[in-house]
Amino acid sequence: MQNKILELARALRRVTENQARASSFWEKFDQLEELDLDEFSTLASGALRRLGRKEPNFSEEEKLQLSSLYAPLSDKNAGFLGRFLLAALASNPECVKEMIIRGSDDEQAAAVMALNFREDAELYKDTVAHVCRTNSTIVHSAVSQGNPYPAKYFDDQEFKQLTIKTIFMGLDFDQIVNLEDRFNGDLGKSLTDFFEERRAAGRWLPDNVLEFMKRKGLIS
Amino acid sequence: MKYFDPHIHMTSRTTDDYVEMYKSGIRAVIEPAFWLGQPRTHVGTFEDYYQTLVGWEKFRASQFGIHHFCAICINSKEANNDELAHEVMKLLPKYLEKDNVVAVGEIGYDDMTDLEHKYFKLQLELAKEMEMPVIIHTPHRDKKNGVIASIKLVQEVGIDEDLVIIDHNTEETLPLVLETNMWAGHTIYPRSKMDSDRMVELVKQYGSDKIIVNSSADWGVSNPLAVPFTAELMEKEGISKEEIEKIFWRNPIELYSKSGTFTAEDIEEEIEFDQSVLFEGNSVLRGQKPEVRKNN
Repeated sequence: MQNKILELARALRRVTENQARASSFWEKFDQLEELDLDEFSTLASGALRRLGRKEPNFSEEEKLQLSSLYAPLSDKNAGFLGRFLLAALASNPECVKEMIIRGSDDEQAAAVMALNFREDAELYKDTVAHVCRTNSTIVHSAVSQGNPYPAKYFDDQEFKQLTIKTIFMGLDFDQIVNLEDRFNGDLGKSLTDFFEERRAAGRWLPDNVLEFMKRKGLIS
Repeated sequence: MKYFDPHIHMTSRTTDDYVEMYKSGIRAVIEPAFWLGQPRTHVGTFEDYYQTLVGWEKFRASQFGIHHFCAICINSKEANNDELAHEVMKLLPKYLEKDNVVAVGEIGYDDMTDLEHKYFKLQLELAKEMEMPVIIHTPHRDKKNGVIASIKLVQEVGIDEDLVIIDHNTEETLPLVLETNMWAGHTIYPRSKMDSDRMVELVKQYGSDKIIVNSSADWGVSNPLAVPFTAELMEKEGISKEEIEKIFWRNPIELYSKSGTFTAEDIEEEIEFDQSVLFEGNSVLRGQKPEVRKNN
Protein backbone atom coordinates (compact mmCIF):
# COMPACT_ATOMS: atom_id res chain seq x y z
CA MET A 1 0.00 0.00 0.00
CA GLN A 2 2.85 2.34 0.82
CA ASN A 3 4.15 1.87 -2.73
CA LYS A 4 0.83 3.01 -4.19
CA ILE A 5 0.90 6.13 -2.04
CA LEU A 6 4.43 6.88 -3.24
CA GLU A 7 3.31 6.31 -6.85
CA LEU A 8 0.57 8.88 -6.31
CA ALA A 9 3.15 11.30 -4.93
CA ARG A 10 5.35 10.82 -8.01
CA ALA A 11 2.42 11.34 -10.38
CA LEU A 12 1.22 14.45 -8.54
CA ARG A 13 4.72 15.90 -8.52
CA ARG A 14 5.06 15.28 -12.27
CA VAL A 15 1.80 17.08 -13.15
CA THR A 16 2.33 20.02 -10.79
CA GLU A 17 6.07 20.64 -10.98
CA ASN A 18 5.78 23.38 -13.61
CA GLN A 19 3.54 25.52 -11.40
CA ALA A 20 5.31 28.53 -9.93
CA ARG A 21 4.56 27.83 -6.30
CA ALA A 22 4.67 24.02 -6.39
CA SER A 23 8.42 23.73 -6.00
CA SER A 24 8.30 25.11 -2.44
CA PHE A 25 5.75 22.39 -1.56
CA TRP A 26 7.83 19.56 -2.99
CA GLU A 27 11.05 20.84 -1.41
CA LYS A 28 9.42 20.63 2.03
CA PHE A 29 7.70 17.36 1.12
CA ASP A 30 11.12 15.81 0.52
CA GLN A 31 12.08 16.81 4.07
CA LEU A 32 8.88 15.50 5.62
CA GLU A 33 10.74 13.51 8.28
CA GLU A 34 12.52 16.60 9.55
CA LEU A 35 9.56 18.98 9.71
CA ASP A 36 8.37 20.06 13.15
CA LEU A 37 4.69 20.42 13.98
CA ASP A 38 4.47 24.09 12.90
CA GLU A 39 6.32 23.48 9.65
CA PHE A 40 4.13 20.50 8.84
CA SER A 41 0.92 22.42 9.61
CA THR A 42 2.02 25.38 7.49
CA LEU A 43 2.84 23.06 4.60
CA ALA A 44 -0.57 21.37 4.85
CA SER A 45 -2.32 24.76 5.09
CA GLY A 46 -0.63 26.02 1.93
CA ALA A 47 -1.00 22.88 -0.20
CA LEU A 48 -3.93 24.24 -2.21
CA ARG A 49 -2.19 27.57 -2.80
CA ARG A 50 0.94 25.79 -4.03
CA LEU A 51 -0.40 22.79 -5.92
CA GLY A 52 -3.59 24.35 -7.27
CA ARG A 53 -7.35 24.12 -7.13
CA LYS A 54 -7.73 22.15 -10.35
CA GLU A 55 -7.95 18.41 -10.77
CA PRO A 56 -4.49 17.16 -11.75
CA ASN A 57 -3.92 16.31 -15.37
CA PHE A 58 -3.31 12.60 -14.76
CA SER A 59 -3.14 10.02 -17.53
CA GLU A 60 -6.12 7.67 -17.87
CA GLU A 61 -4.08 4.92 -16.24
CA GLU A 62 -3.17 7.17 -13.32
CA LYS A 63 -6.80 8.13 -12.90
CA LEU A 64 -7.75 4.46 -12.69
CA GLN A 65 -5.00 3.85 -10.16
CA LEU A 66 -6.19 6.76 -8.05
CA SER A 67 -9.76 5.52 -8.15
CA SER A 68 -8.72 2.00 -7.18
CA LEU A 69 -6.52 3.34 -4.39
CA TYR A 70 -9.42 5.22 -2.80
CA ALA A 71 -12.52 6.07 -4.83
CA PRO A 72 -13.48 9.31 -3.00
CA LEU A 73 -10.17 10.82 -4.18
CA SER A 74 -11.18 10.57 -7.86
CA ASP A 75 -12.58 14.09 -8.17
CA LYS A 76 -10.23 15.86 -5.78
CA ASN A 77 -7.98 18.76 -6.75
CA ALA A 78 -4.19 18.78 -6.60
CA GLY A 79 -4.07 20.66 -3.29
CA PHE A 80 -6.34 18.12 -1.66
CA LEU A 81 -4.21 15.24 -2.91
CA GLY A 82 -1.11 16.97 -1.56
CA ARG A 83 -2.73 17.14 1.87
CA PHE A 84 -3.80 13.52 1.60
CA LEU A 85 -0.20 12.51 0.90
CA LEU A 86 1.11 14.55 3.83
CA ALA A 87 -1.33 12.89 6.24
CA ALA A 88 -0.66 9.43 4.82
CA LEU A 89 3.13 9.71 4.98
CA ALA A 90 3.88 11.85 8.07
CA SER A 91 5.83 9.81 10.58
CA ASN A 92 4.88 11.99 13.54
CA PRO A 93 1.32 11.13 14.68
CA GLU A 94 1.02 14.56 16.33
CA CYS A 95 1.23 16.18 12.90
CA VAL A 96 -1.68 14.08 11.68
CA LYS A 97 -3.71 14.76 14.81
CA GLU A 98 -3.10 18.49 14.45
CA MET A 99 -4.33 18.36 10.85
CA ILE A 100 -7.51 16.58 11.92
CA ILE A 101 -8.17 18.84 14.90
CA ARG A 102 -7.11 22.27 13.63
CA GLY A 103 -7.04 21.93 9.86
CA SER A 104 -9.47 23.69 7.54
CA ASP A 105 -12.43 21.62 6.32
CA ASP A 106 -10.44 20.30 3.36
CA GLU A 107 -7.39 19.52 5.49
CA GLN A 108 -9.55 17.58 7.92
CA ALA A 109 -11.26 15.76 5.06
CA ALA A 110 -7.96 14.80 3.44
CA ALA A 111 -6.54 13.58 6.75
CA VAL A 112 -9.50 11.37 7.69
CA MET A 113 -9.30 9.74 4.27
CA ALA A 114 -5.54 9.22 4.58
CA LEU A 115 -5.87 7.42 7.91
CA ASN A 116 -6.91 4.29 6.02
CA PHE A 117 -3.37 4.08 4.68
CA ARG A 118 -1.58 4.46 8.00
CA GLU A 119 -0.41 1.57 10.14
CA ASP A 120 -1.22 3.53 13.29
CA ALA A 121 -4.78 4.31 12.09
CA GLU A 122 -6.47 3.20 15.32
CA LEU A 123 -4.54 5.84 17.26
CA TYR A 124 -6.77 8.58 15.83
CA LYS A 125 -10.12 6.99 16.65
CA ASP A 126 -11.17 9.46 19.36
CA THR A 127 -9.99 12.41 17.30
CA VAL A 128 -12.06 11.34 14.29
CA ALA A 129 -15.11 10.66 16.46
CA HIS A 130 -14.76 14.19 17.84
CA VAL A 131 -14.44 15.71 14.37
CA CYS A 132 -17.78 14.08 13.47
CA ARG A 133 -19.42 16.63 15.76
CA THR A 134 -18.92 19.24 13.03
CA ASN A 135 -21.85 20.66 11.11
CA SER A 136 -19.73 21.03 7.99
CA THR A 137 -20.89 18.57 5.35
CA ILE A 138 -17.41 18.72 3.80
CA VAL A 139 -15.83 17.07 6.83
CA HIS A 140 -18.71 14.81 7.75
CA SER A 141 -18.87 13.51 4.16
CA ALA A 142 -15.20 12.63 4.29
CA VAL A 143 -15.80 10.44 7.34
CA SER A 144 -19.19 8.98 6.50
CA GLN A 145 -19.25 8.63 2.71
CA GLY A 146 -17.31 5.67 1.36
CA ASN A 147 -14.76 5.77 4.19
CA PRO A 148 -14.11 2.38 5.86
CA TYR A 149 -12.51 3.98 8.93
CA PRO A 150 -15.62 4.35 11.14
CA ALA A 151 -16.78 0.77 10.55
CA LYS A 152 -13.33 -0.52 11.37
CA TYR A 153 -12.53 1.54 14.46
CA PHE A 154 -15.58 3.31 15.93
CA ASP A 155 -17.28 1.70 18.92
CA ASP A 156 -21.03 1.00 18.71
CA GLN A 157 -22.04 4.32 20.24
CA GLU A 158 -19.77 6.33 17.92
CA PHE A 159 -20.92 4.37 14.87
CA LYS A 160 -24.57 4.91 15.82
CA GLN A 161 -24.02 8.67 16.14
CA LEU A 162 -22.25 8.75 12.78
CA THR A 163 -25.15 6.91 11.14
CA ILE A 164 -27.91 9.06 12.62
CA LYS A 165 -26.03 12.28 11.91
CA THR A 166 -25.43 11.22 8.32
CA ILE A 167 -29.21 11.03 7.85
CA PHE A 168 -29.68 14.21 9.87
CA MET A 169 -27.31 16.14 7.60
CA GLY A 170 -28.96 14.87 4.43
CA LEU A 171 -25.93 12.84 3.35
CA ASP A 172 -26.24 9.49 1.58
CA PHE A 173 -27.07 6.72 4.02
CA ASP A 174 -26.04 4.09 1.45
CA GLN A 175 -22.49 5.45 1.41
CA ILE A 176 -21.83 4.43 5.03
CA VAL A 177 -19.36 1.58 4.71
CA ASN A 178 -20.24 -1.78 6.33
CA LEU A 179 -23.50 -0.56 7.79
CA GLU A 180 -24.94 -4.07 7.45
CA ASP A 181 -22.15 -5.58 9.54
CA ARG A 182 -22.29 -2.89 12.20
CA PHE A 183 -26.09 -2.89 12.54
CA ASN A 184 -27.32 -3.91 15.99
CA GLY A 185 -30.39 -3.54 18.17
CA ASP A 186 -29.30 -0.23 19.65
CA LEU A 187 -28.79 1.33 16.21
CA GLY A 188 -32.15 -0.11 15.16
CA LYS A 189 -33.83 1.52 18.18
CA SER A 190 -32.27 4.90 17.37
CA LEU A 191 -33.42 4.66 13.76
CA THR A 192 -36.93 3.78 14.94
CA ASP A 193 -36.96 6.67 17.42
CA PHE A 194 -35.76 9.02 14.70
CA PHE A 195 -38.45 7.73 12.34
CA GLU A 196 -41.17 8.22 15.00
CA GLU A 197 -39.97 11.74 15.79
CA ARG A 198 -40.08 12.69 12.14
CA ARG A 199 -43.48 11.07 11.63
CA ALA A 200 -44.92 12.98 14.60
CA ALA A 201 -43.66 16.19 12.98
CA GLY A 202 -45.15 15.24 9.61
CA ARG A 203 -41.74 14.64 8.07
CA TRP A 204 -40.10 11.59 6.52
CA LEU A 205 -36.79 9.87 6.26
CA PRO A 206 -35.12 9.34 2.87
CA ASP A 207 -36.38 6.36 0.87
CA ASN A 208 -33.16 4.38 1.18
CA VAL A 209 -33.31 4.67 4.98
CA LEU A 210 -36.92 3.47 4.99
CA GLU A 211 -35.96 0.53 2.75
CA PHE A 212 -33.15 -0.38 5.13
CA MET A 213 -35.50 -0.19 8.12
CA LYS A 214 -38.02 -2.41 6.36
CA ARG A 215 -35.36 -5.01 5.62
CA LYS A 216 -34.36 -5.00 9.27
CA GLY A 217 -37.99 -5.39 10.35
CA LEU A 218 -38.02 -2.01 12.11
CA ILE A 219 -41.05 -0.76 10.17
CA SER A 220 -43.56 -2.52 7.99
CA MET B 1 -25.54 43.96 -10.75
CA LYS B 2 -23.16 41.80 -8.71
CA TYR B 3 -21.41 43.27 -5.69
CA PHE B 4 -18.34 42.45 -3.63
CA ASP B 5 -18.30 43.66 0.00
CA PRO B 6 -14.56 43.50 0.75
CA HIS B 7 -14.81 44.30 4.44
CA ILE B 8 -17.58 42.78 6.54
CA HIS B 9 -17.53 40.79 9.79
CA MET B 10 -19.99 38.04 8.99
CA THR B 11 -19.37 35.97 12.15
CA SER B 12 -21.26 38.79 13.89
CA ARG B 13 -24.19 38.66 11.49
CA THR B 14 -27.23 36.43 11.07
CA THR B 15 -28.48 34.12 8.35
CA ASP B 16 -31.18 36.72 7.57
CA ASP B 17 -28.33 39.06 6.61
CA TYR B 18 -26.89 36.46 4.26
CA VAL B 19 -30.31 35.98 2.63
CA GLU B 20 -30.81 39.73 2.13
CA MET B 21 -27.23 40.22 0.94
CA TYR B 22 -27.68 37.53 -1.70
CA LYS B 23 -31.00 39.02 -2.81
CA SER B 24 -29.31 42.44 -3.10
CA GLY B 25 -26.64 41.06 -5.42
CA ILE B 26 -23.72 40.48 -3.04
CA ARG B 27 -21.80 37.45 -4.28
CA ALA B 28 -18.48 37.77 -2.46
CA VAL B 29 -17.24 39.07 0.87
CA ILE B 30 -13.97 39.48 2.73
CA GLU B 31 -13.98 39.16 6.51
CA PRO B 32 -10.90 40.73 8.10
CA ALA B 33 -9.89 39.43 11.51
CA PHE B 34 -10.73 42.01 14.15
CA TRP B 35 -11.47 42.36 17.81
CA LEU B 36 -14.63 41.05 19.38
CA GLY B 37 -15.72 44.13 21.29
CA GLN B 38 -13.61 43.22 24.29
CA PRO B 39 -9.99 42.10 24.55
CA ARG B 40 -9.19 38.40 24.36
CA THR B 41 -7.00 36.93 27.07
CA HIS B 42 -5.65 33.69 25.55
CA VAL B 43 -3.83 32.86 22.34
CA GLY B 44 -6.14 29.86 21.92
CA THR B 45 -9.18 32.06 21.48
CA PHE B 46 -7.41 33.78 18.59
CA GLU B 47 -6.68 30.43 17.00
CA ASP B 48 -10.27 29.24 17.33
CA TYR B 49 -11.44 32.56 15.86
CA TYR B 50 -9.12 32.11 12.87
CA GLN B 51 -10.43 28.59 12.44
CA THR B 52 -13.95 29.95 12.31
CA LEU B 53 -12.91 32.42 9.59
CA VAL B 54 -11.25 29.76 7.43
CA GLY B 55 -13.77 27.04 8.23
CA TRP B 56 -17.31 27.37 9.47
CA GLU B 57 -18.00 30.91 8.24
CA LYS B 58 -16.74 30.05 4.75
CA PHE B 59 -19.04 27.04 4.73
CA ARG B 60 -21.98 29.02 6.16
CA ALA B 61 -21.64 31.74 3.49
CA SER B 62 -21.51 29.12 0.74
CA GLN B 63 -24.89 27.82 1.87
CA PHE B 64 -26.31 31.21 0.88
CA GLY B 65 -24.48 31.46 -2.45
CA ILE B 66 -21.76 33.85 -1.29
CA HIS B 67 -18.00 33.42 -1.75
CA HIS B 68 -16.36 34.03 1.63
CA PHE B 69 -12.74 35.10 1.93
CA CYS B 70 -10.94 36.43 4.97
CA ALA B 71 -7.88 38.29 6.20
CA ILE B 72 -5.84 37.19 9.20
CA CYS B 73 -3.88 39.29 11.71
CA ILE B 74 -3.44 40.55 15.23
CA ASN B 75 -5.54 43.73 15.25
CA SER B 76 -4.28 47.07 16.51
CA LYS B 77 -6.27 47.18 19.76
CA GLU B 78 -5.09 43.77 20.93
CA ALA B 79 -1.53 44.45 19.75
CA ASN B 80 -1.30 46.49 22.95
CA ASN B 81 -1.05 43.23 24.93
CA ASP B 82 2.59 42.51 24.06
CA GLU B 83 2.80 39.04 25.58
CA LEU B 84 -0.37 37.86 23.85
CA ALA B 85 0.42 39.56 20.54
CA HIS B 86 3.83 37.88 20.51
CA GLU B 87 2.15 34.47 20.77
CA VAL B 88 -0.48 35.33 18.15
CA MET B 89 2.24 36.34 15.69
CA LYS B 90 3.51 32.75 15.75
CA LEU B 91 0.14 31.54 14.42
CA LEU B 92 -0.01 33.90 11.47
CA PRO B 93 2.23 32.19 8.87
CA LYS B 94 0.16 29.01 9.08
CA TYR B 95 -3.22 30.74 8.92
CA LEU B 96 -2.17 33.10 6.11
CA GLU B 97 -1.63 30.00 3.97
CA LYS B 98 -5.23 28.75 4.39
CA ASP B 99 -7.44 28.34 1.35
CA ASN B 100 -9.73 31.38 1.65
CA VAL B 101 -7.22 33.88 3.08
CA VAL B 102 -6.61 36.86 0.79
CA ALA B 103 -4.77 39.36 2.97
CA VAL B 104 -3.08 40.33 6.20
CA GLY B 105 -5.58 42.46 8.05
CA GLU B 106 -7.04 44.52 9.38
CA ILE B 107 -3.87 45.90 10.94
CA GLY B 108 -2.80 49.46 11.64
CA TYR B 109 -3.07 52.07 14.36
CA ASP B 110 -5.81 52.61 16.90
CA ASP B 111 -4.37 54.73 19.73
CA MET B 112 -1.05 54.99 17.85
CA THR B 113 1.00 53.44 20.66
CA ASP B 114 4.50 52.00 20.40
CA LEU B 115 3.15 48.45 20.60
CA GLU B 116 0.65 49.10 17.83
CA HIS B 117 3.52 50.40 15.73
CA LYS B 118 5.63 47.33 16.54
CA TYR B 119 3.02 44.79 15.45
CA PHE B 120 1.84 46.88 12.51
CA LYS B 121 5.40 46.88 11.18
CA LEU B 122 6.00 43.18 11.88
CA GLN B 123 2.84 42.25 9.99
CA LEU B 124 3.67 44.51 7.05
CA GLU B 125 7.01 42.72 6.84
CA LEU B 126 5.25 39.36 6.96
CA ALA B 127 2.88 40.43 4.16
CA LYS B 128 5.84 41.60 2.10
CA GLU B 129 7.59 38.28 2.59
CA MET B 130 4.45 36.33 1.66
CA GLU B 131 3.52 38.71 -1.18
CA MET B 132 0.03 39.17 0.19
CA PRO B 133 -2.32 42.17 0.15
CA VAL B 134 -2.71 44.14 3.37
CA ILE B 135 -5.84 45.78 4.81
CA ILE B 136 -4.94 48.80 6.93
CA HIS B 137 -7.45 50.03 9.47
CA THR B 138 -7.19 53.74 10.21
CA PRO B 139 -8.00 55.21 13.62
CA HIS B 140 -11.34 56.74 14.50
CA ARG B 141 -9.57 59.44 16.50
CA ASP B 142 -6.85 61.56 14.93
CA LYS B 143 -7.54 59.83 11.62
CA LYS B 144 -5.56 62.16 9.37
CA ASN B 145 -2.34 61.70 11.33
CA GLY B 146 -3.06 57.95 11.51
CA VAL B 147 -3.29 57.78 7.71
CA ILE B 148 -0.11 59.83 7.29
CA ALA B 149 1.76 57.56 9.73
CA SER B 150 0.38 54.42 8.03
CA ILE B 151 1.50 55.55 4.59
CA LYS B 152 4.92 56.41 5.97
CA LEU B 153 5.31 52.98 7.56
CA VAL B 154 4.19 51.15 4.40
CA GLN B 155 6.81 53.05 2.43
CA GLU B 156 9.47 52.42 5.07
CA VAL B 157 8.83 48.64 5.00
CA GLY B 158 8.89 48.72 1.22
CA ILE B 159 5.97 46.45 0.44
CA ASP B 160 4.49 46.93 -3.05
CA GLU B 161 1.99 49.78 -2.61
CA ASP B 162 -0.36 48.13 -5.09
CA LEU B 163 -0.87 45.35 -2.49
CA VAL B 164 -2.02 47.78 0.21
CA ILE B 165 -5.45 49.22 0.97
CA ILE B 166 -5.82 52.08 3.43
CA ASP B 167 -9.34 51.72 4.77
CA HIS B 168 -12.05 53.87 6.39
CA ASN B 169 -11.11 57.02 4.45
CA THR B 170 -12.83 60.37 4.70
CA GLU B 171 -12.80 63.57 2.63
CA GLU B 172 -9.66 64.61 4.53
CA THR B 173 -7.66 61.43 4.00
CA LEU B 174 -8.63 60.21 0.51
CA PRO B 175 -6.40 62.72 -1.34
CA LEU B 176 -3.44 61.59 0.78
CA VAL B 177 -3.95 57.95 -0.24
CA LEU B 178 -4.50 58.78 -3.89
CA GLU B 179 -1.10 60.47 -3.99
CA THR B 180 0.37 56.98 -3.49
CA ASN B 181 -0.18 53.77 -5.47
CA MET B 182 -2.23 52.28 -2.62
CA TRP B 183 -5.94 51.49 -2.74
CA ALA B 184 -8.46 53.63 -0.89
CA GLY B 185 -11.20 51.92 1.10
CA HIS B 186 -14.34 53.63 2.35
CA THR B 187 -16.70 52.32 5.01
CA ILE B 188 -20.35 53.27 4.79
CA TYR B 189 -21.65 53.50 8.34
CA PRO B 190 -25.00 54.77 9.56
CA ARG B 191 -23.56 57.51 11.75
CA SER B 192 -19.77 57.63 11.47
CA LYS B 193 -16.84 57.09 9.06
CA MET B 194 -18.51 57.72 5.66
CA ASP B 195 -22.09 57.81 4.41
CA SER B 196 -23.56 57.01 1.00
CA ASP B 197 -24.27 60.61 -0.02
CA ARG B 198 -20.74 61.73 0.78
CA MET B 199 -19.36 58.67 -1.03
CA VAL B 200 -21.23 59.68 -4.19
CA GLU B 201 -19.65 63.11 -4.01
CA LEU B 202 -16.16 61.62 -3.56
CA VAL B 203 -16.58 59.46 -6.66
CA LYS B 204 -17.82 62.46 -8.63
CA GLN B 205 -14.73 64.34 -7.56
CA TYR B 206 -12.04 61.65 -7.70
CA GLY B 207 -13.40 58.99 -10.10
CA SER B 208 -13.20 55.23 -9.61
CA ASP B 209 -9.49 54.40 -9.91
CA LYS B 210 -8.25 52.60 -6.77
CA ILE B 211 -11.57 53.31 -5.01
CA ILE B 212 -13.18 50.56 -2.94
CA VAL B 213 -16.33 50.71 -0.81
CA ASN B 214 -17.37 48.38 2.01
CA SER B 215 -19.85 48.09 4.85
CA SER B 216 -17.56 46.89 7.68
CA ALA B 217 -20.80 45.58 9.18
CA ASP B 218 -20.14 43.91 12.50
CA TRP B 219 -21.71 43.45 15.95
CA GLY B 220 -22.38 47.18 16.27
CA VAL B 221 -24.88 49.46 14.56
CA SER B 222 -24.03 48.87 10.91
CA ASN B 223 -25.66 47.90 7.63
CA PRO B 224 -24.68 44.74 5.73
CA LEU B 225 -26.49 46.13 2.67
CA ALA B 226 -24.51 49.39 2.62
CA VAL B 227 -22.59 48.33 -0.50
CA PRO B 228 -25.61 47.72 -2.81
CA PHE B 229 -27.41 50.71 -1.29
CA THR B 230 -24.51 53.03 -2.10
CA ALA B 231 -24.11 51.59 -5.60
CA GLU B 232 -27.79 52.19 -6.32
CA LEU B 233 -27.50 55.74 -5.04
CA MET B 234 -24.54 56.33 -7.36
CA GLU B 235 -26.61 55.12 -10.29
CA LYS B 236 -29.43 57.50 -9.36
CA GLU B 237 -26.90 60.32 -9.11
CA GLY B 238 -25.70 59.71 -12.65
CA ILE B 239 -22.46 57.84 -12.13
CA SER B 240 -21.96 55.42 -15.03
CA LYS B 241 -22.66 51.71 -14.65
CA GLU B 242 -19.12 51.00 -15.79
CA GLU B 243 -17.66 53.06 -12.94
CA ILE B 244 -20.04 51.52 -10.43
CA GLU B 245 -19.10 48.01 -11.55
CA LYS B 246 -15.45 48.94 -11.26
CA ILE B 247 -15.79 50.22 -7.69
CA PHE B 248 -18.09 47.51 -6.39
CA TRP B 249 -16.86 44.43 -8.27
CA ARG B 250 -13.73 44.75 -10.41
CA ASN B 251 -11.54 46.81 -8.06
CA PRO B 252 -11.77 44.42 -5.09
CA ILE B 253 -11.20 41.49 -7.43
CA GLU B 254 -8.13 43.16 -8.93
CA LEU B 255 -6.64 43.85 -5.50
CA TYR B 256 -7.41 40.63 -3.67
CA SER B 257 -6.78 38.22 -6.53
CA LYS B 258 -3.13 39.28 -6.15
CA SER B 259 -3.12 36.93 -3.15
CA GLY B 260 -3.32 33.93 -5.49
CA THR B 261 -6.35 32.70 -3.53
CA PHE B 262 -8.83 33.19 -6.37
CA THR B 263 -9.00 34.40 -9.94
CA ALA B 264 -11.51 36.74 -11.56
CA GLU B 265 -12.83 33.69 -13.40
CA ASP B 266 -13.35 31.74 -10.14
CA ILE B 267 -15.38 34.47 -8.61
CA GLU B 268 -17.53 35.11 -11.65
CA GLU B 269 -18.87 31.61 -11.24
CA GLU B 270 -21.98 31.47 -9.07
CA ILE B 271 -21.80 29.07 -6.14
CA GLU B 272 -24.09 26.11 -6.54
CA PHE B 273 -25.86 25.75 -3.25
CA ASP B 274 -28.42 23.35 -2.01
CA GLN B 275 -29.67 24.11 1.45
CA SER B 276 -31.90 21.03 1.29
CA VAL B 277 -28.87 18.87 2.08
CA LEU B 278 -28.78 20.62 5.42
CA PHE B 279 -32.47 21.11 5.83
CA GLU B 280 -32.95 18.42 8.41
CA GLY B 281 -29.64 19.04 10.10
CA ASN B 282 -28.91 21.43 12.91
CA SER B 283 -26.75 23.50 10.63
CA VAL B 284 -27.89 26.73 9.03
CA LEU B 285 -31.64 26.23 8.66
CA ARG B 286 -34.23 25.65 11.33
CA GLY B 287 -37.14 24.23 9.38
CA GLN B 288 -37.44 26.87 6.65
CA LYS B 289 -37.98 25.97 3.02
CA PRO B 290 -34.51 25.31 1.60
CA GLU B 291 -33.23 27.14 -1.46
CA VAL B 292 -31.56 25.31 -4.32
CA ARG B 293 -29.54 27.01 -7.04
CA LYS B 294 -27.62 25.13 -9.70
CA ASN B 295 -25.48 26.48 -12.51
CA ASN B 296 -26.65 25.47 -15.99
